[in-house]
Amino acid sequence: MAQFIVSGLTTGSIYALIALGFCIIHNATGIVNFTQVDFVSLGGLMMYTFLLGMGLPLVLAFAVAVLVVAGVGALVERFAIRPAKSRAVIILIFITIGVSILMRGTFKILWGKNQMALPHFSSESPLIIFRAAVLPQSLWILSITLIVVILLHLFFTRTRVGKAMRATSFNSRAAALMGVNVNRMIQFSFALSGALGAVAGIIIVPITTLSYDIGVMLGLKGFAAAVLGGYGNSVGAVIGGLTLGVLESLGAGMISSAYKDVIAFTILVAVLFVKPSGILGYGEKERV
Amino acid sequence: MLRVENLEAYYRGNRALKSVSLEVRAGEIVCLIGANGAGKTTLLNCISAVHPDWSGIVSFEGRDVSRAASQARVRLGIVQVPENRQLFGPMTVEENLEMGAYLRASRMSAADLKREMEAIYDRFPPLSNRRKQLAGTLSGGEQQMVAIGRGLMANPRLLLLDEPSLGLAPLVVREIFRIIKEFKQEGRTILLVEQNALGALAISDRAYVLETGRLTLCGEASALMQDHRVRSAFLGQQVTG
Amino acid sequence: MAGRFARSNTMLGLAALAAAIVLFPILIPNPYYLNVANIIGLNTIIVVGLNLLIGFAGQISLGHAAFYGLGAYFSGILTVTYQVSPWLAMAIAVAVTAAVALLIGIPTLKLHGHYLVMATLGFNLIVNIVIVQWDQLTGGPSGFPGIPSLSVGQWAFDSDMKMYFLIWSVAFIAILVALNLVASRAGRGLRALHGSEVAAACLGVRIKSYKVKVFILSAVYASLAGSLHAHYLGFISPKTFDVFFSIELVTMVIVGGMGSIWGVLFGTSFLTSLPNVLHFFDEYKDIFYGLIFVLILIFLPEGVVVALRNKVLAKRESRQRRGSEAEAEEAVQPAVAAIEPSHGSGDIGGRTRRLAAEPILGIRDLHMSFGGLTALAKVSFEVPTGSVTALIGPNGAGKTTMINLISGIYRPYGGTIRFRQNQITGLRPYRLAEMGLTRTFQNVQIFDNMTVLENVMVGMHAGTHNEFFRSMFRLPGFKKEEDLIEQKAWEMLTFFSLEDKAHAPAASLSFGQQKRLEMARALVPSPSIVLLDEPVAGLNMTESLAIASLIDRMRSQGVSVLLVEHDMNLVMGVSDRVVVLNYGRKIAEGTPQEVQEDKQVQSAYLGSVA
Repeated sequence: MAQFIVSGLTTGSIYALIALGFCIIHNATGIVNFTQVDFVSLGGLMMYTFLLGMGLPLVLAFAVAVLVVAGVGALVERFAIRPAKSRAVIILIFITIGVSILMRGTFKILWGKNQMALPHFSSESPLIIFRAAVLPQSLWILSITLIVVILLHLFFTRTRVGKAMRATSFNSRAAALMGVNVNRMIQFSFALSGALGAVAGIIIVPITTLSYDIGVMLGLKGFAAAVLGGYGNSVGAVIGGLTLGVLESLGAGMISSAYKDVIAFTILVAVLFVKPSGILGYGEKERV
Repeated sequence: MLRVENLEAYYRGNRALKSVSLEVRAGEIVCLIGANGAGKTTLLNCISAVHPDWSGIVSFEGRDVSRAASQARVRLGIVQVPENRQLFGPMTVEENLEMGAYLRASRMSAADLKREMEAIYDRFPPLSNRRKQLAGTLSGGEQQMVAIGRGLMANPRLLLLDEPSLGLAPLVVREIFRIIKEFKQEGRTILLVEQNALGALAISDRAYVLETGRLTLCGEASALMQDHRVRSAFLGQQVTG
Repeated sequence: MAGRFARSNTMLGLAALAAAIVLFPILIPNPYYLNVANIIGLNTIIVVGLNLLIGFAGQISLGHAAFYGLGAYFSGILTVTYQVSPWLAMAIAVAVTAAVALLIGIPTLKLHGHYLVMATLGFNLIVNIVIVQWDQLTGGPSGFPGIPSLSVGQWAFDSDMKMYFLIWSVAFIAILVALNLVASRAGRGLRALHGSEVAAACLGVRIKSYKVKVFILSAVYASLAGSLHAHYLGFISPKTFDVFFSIELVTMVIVGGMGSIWGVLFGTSFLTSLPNVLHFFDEYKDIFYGLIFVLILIFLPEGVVVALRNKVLAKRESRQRRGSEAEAEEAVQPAVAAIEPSHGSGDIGGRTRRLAAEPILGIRDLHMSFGGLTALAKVSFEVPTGSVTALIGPNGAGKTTMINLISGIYRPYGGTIRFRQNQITGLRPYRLAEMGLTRTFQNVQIFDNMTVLENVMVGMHAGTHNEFFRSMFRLPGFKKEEDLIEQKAWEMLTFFSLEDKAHAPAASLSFGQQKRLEMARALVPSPSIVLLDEPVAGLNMTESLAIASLIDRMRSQGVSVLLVEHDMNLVMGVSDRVVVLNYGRKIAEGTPQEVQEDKQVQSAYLGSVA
């Protein structure tokens, strides 16, 4: 039991980070950004290149990989979202899907179709905590996620740019009247989501494997977590991610690991049917 | 100080403003009155450069700023307090005020910022014990105070006030007008948009009347107040007395 | 009538399609191309259905590959494992898929935006994983082989060529049925709910039921394609039906143009053959595919076919544009035509008639609040039958809230609303429309995605009966009602002097024309009362005068009017009675004269000198 909860929290942390990325872009633009899944893959792939290909030290490779993916996020906004002639949400969403295909095609050529592996950040021998065998990498994942969430919170509540990003998401017209450059805030949000996706990819890959499309399933679960928590709500994203991770892990352990993903999405669909706006979503008042 | 010439604006493909020209001199309170849908808010939004589809010339303190983006106009001191307050509801009062100083914050010390914020709380005492409260949970009058305070934090040279009395109870309306009168004594320059025509005219120096996108009357506020055409624009033509 | 012109265009299109279908295999007998053509045909069937859902009803599904898969697997398993006849299996597959769509649709279509996307995507993932995991039944990840060909007696559809004709016949019928649906009362209802759910509901469209019906229809299309796929290839594997294929299907809808049935042919042909063409680029083909996809969406967001058509139309229109600006500002003289007073009794008319004893609308102690703020506090008033009653008050007084309560958009927290003899408190807007209560909106809610004539035809939704099935198959009785709807709509367009704009897109009208269009749409079903929410806001003097005379004429035709308006000239000129609200309370009521002289009203409106 404890075993399942620990592994659930570990994957749940990853879902939470990805879900936060989805939320930040949603709050800035109102769209679902499907390139989020490729930010996850790219994080892992860049880490592979910098760490194993170029032999950078772990911390440096980590930092550079995150920065590169953040830059890619900013480029996606600049060259795919901003020039779009239509502001319709569905069109913008499908633009991100198209960019996602484009990115995966590029990754496939640059890194090949083979499975790759990254070393754990530290020892690979499990520790026994509360009668559960815990990989040190899991502890890395949990603590890095915690740090990222705290930093993110500080960024949004303490810094000038963070506050401006929040203000823009609540009321972009009013933010513009205060002199906020709304386009730049949207670009920041893509960069930030890129960074979050990259961190998720970098820390999870050592215990899974790495491939050019590793982020797809993780990313979809992250999307599910965001929806589960109430789309756009950051606290909800974290809760949604951890809940999804734990339930999925428990379900896999008790019912069948083959149906792990079915369990995750069944929970999600069931929650949506009962509470259509997610766990912490503000109910949109039904009018008609 | 502000001069608008031949402004034309389009809203959903229709002409919402038709060759509007007006000016606001330093130290003046000018009010713009007119019925719903006359284009008052659109006009302010053109002056703030947040309306997408317009043409014409806007100059500020002798400089043509027609091409300047909204940030640049805020930086010059053209600051709008928008209709319906438009606060950042899920943020605290304090954060809302900070957002007002967004463009100046990087060039200001934290102490200066703090001092200016205290000045706002002194001006609006009801806000001082609500600093950490979410702006969306305040009463309408308090929200309007935050909105005006937020505008002041941008250190405006010209303040555009859009319907500051909208939806407020009579007592609160009186309070808001009192504050605007205070501004006048401080020598601030204000372009005021109002539905509450008599209240607005009473505190203004000059006024313009906007009807379906055209300026139809302008003059001294005290003169317009007596003009029967103003009354009829609001109450219908058969009004007597 | 110009409607016939559109119809003949459709016939021409169908004839061209039929000819193309017949000629293709004769001109290009290459089996490789035939195979691609067959896949295009299958995709066309799914995408036509999906476009009805996305382009006409505005609901996005990322789960249609699952319905496609359900059709294929039911056909496969039933025919191979259980020895059921292929045609029967196909019918069972359709029935089961429809049932699944109903079960999924009812809760799912209540969801909005991203939640709907997620729920359908989740559904697809679940179906896909179940297919992979339940390997005794489905053959698991390695697929399900040995599915027999379809046959009629001894004659089997066992070659690419034979299947080509079968698949494309079905695709042809699928397109025909979809076109039939689109050009019908039900189809207009769908497009209307896409344009504005609130406005559609207030005209009598049953929003929820329509969404579920079109969802089921699109699932049935996908299931049929799935069965054909299974019998054509003889082998099915779960990879064909994954979420990525769902995404590709939606992409085909977008590239062809949302809401364009003919665009589907382009979207499917282009995106189905693109990977084959790009094969040449070998490993770079995903990149090119993604790039083309993104470029189309960035620069031609309305879809390639629609973009081309719009370009042609725009050229034609720019020739006509000149002078139309001036024309828009001209005075509008309402033409002489009759609005039939259907519900009201015919003898009420003229400015000096006596009002019937029974009020048409009775509001009692109506109470409403939003987030703790009281919007209306126990307001009571009546609208006498056959009168024009105005509801006025400063901004934020609660006028629009009142209209929204009466038209069923909000449910009051307390109080009652009576409409003639009936309690209507809390009834849904479509029910009220059916009973003869319609409205217009403060921010015009015309259906941008339809023509002027079609907008007015949606107005006839309440009280007419052509539903999905009768429309799709043009069953007896369809034409008679459709003609009646069109005839009434033309009469109303003439009444509002919009007949020369009948076939223009509604979005191209000037603001004043849009306001009149909205009134025409509200009046066409011959309601007994119309609620007008600020009909002259934003209009100039001449346009306002025209509206005033229209309101006068409505009354003389026996239609009661509840008018919310800021323009006091209009209110005082046209109303029999005036009710004044301020801060959610009624502060005065009486004849225009009485109200104007009321001190409280004067200070509420003009403000007071502080």
